[in-house]
Amino acid sequence: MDERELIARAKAGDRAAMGELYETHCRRVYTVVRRLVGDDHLAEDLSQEAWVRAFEKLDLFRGEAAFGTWIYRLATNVALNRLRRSSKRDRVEASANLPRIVNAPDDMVVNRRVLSLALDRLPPGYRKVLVLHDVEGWTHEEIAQSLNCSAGTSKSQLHKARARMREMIASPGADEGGARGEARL
Amino acid sequence: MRPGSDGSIEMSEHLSIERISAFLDEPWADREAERHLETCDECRAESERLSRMRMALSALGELDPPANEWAKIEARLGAVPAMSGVTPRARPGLGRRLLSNGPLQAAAALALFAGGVLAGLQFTSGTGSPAGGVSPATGELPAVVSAGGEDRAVQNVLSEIEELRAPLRSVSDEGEAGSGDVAADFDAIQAARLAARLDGLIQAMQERLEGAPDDPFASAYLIELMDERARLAEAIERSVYDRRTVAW
Repeated sequence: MDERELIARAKAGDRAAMGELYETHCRRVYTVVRRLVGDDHLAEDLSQEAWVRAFEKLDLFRGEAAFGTWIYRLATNVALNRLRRSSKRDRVEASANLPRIVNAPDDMVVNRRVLSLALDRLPPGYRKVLVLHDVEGWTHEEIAQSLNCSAGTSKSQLHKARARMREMIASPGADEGGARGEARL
Repeated sequence: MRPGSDGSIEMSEHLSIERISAFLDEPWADREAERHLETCDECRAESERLSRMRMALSALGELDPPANEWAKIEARLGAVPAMSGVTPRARPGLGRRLLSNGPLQAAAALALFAGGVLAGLQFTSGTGSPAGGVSPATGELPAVVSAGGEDRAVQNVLSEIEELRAPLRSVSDEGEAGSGDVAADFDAIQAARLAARLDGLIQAMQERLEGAPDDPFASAYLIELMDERARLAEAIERSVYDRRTVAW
């Protein structure tokens, strides 16, 4: 059954069709939400929220674009909206010292687990720009439109976020101060 | 980076990580950094580390959702009475917190109705500002349709959404924090104004989608707007209902 038919059946309330749509796109949706919010439990809740909203409002989707793009965008908005709500707490977190994460000895290839851990520990304001740009491949203009800021602000946040990542990811034996030239990625 | 007195980089200094990061993305925009990197081993090494990190980030794979996610989604869908249109989700107690100021409740209901009608007229006619004699309770309506180009219209809508989120969020946050009466900060008239503005924005987004069906950006915001509107309407309705129950 092609996706257009699945969507038509899902609009009529067919749970099996909804399940198939979910199966096809659940990983992409969960991934972007999880990376943006940096927390398993919150991601689980928001990913569910995005799907429930999508199926509740499926009548708004007319089938002229990819359903995957539509649900991806919806899920991203759900996650970003949640991050906006906790912006007061973000500011406190952003000023706190960041923990350092020691990379594997053979760190010429960046360890994915370490990278994911560092992403989770980034202040949310930095994390969302870094995830959207470097992980998800959005342009600064797209990020600016979504976060209601300028493209310049998006760029500035991105470079600060990368610098924070570099500060956090250290090689074994690097000084705690994380001075330039001593920490290696 | 600590530049020299003439703004140039001295060889004893190094580029900041942020500047190297910017150079990686737009090498044509910083010739001075390019020259420095050609001669500074340490900065070049840092540039390579950053570049590897950037590549590793772009290659991060997809994650598996929790195994029982679909079952939970189905359970939540089971509690939804309708599959289309505006489906309010209950927020117990929000109505009381939102509109605890009794004398304003009836005004809120009336203003909400008037606001909706005016918003509809506003965007149907395409004028940018309300006609004279508009009740203050309805507020100023956004000129998103008549603002010019498509991009301008979307930008206006986004700005409006951001403005609207703040008071709605403050009500929600107050409630989550367990505080008491928030009517002093967010009264019924304000709720009605928000409702009217939300109506206008919803209509503007719907009109935009007429031209670009399934625009995921507009769709996502329309869904958010409809959810906010549903919550607000439910809160006002519940408040009025509670008042009637008490009166009878």
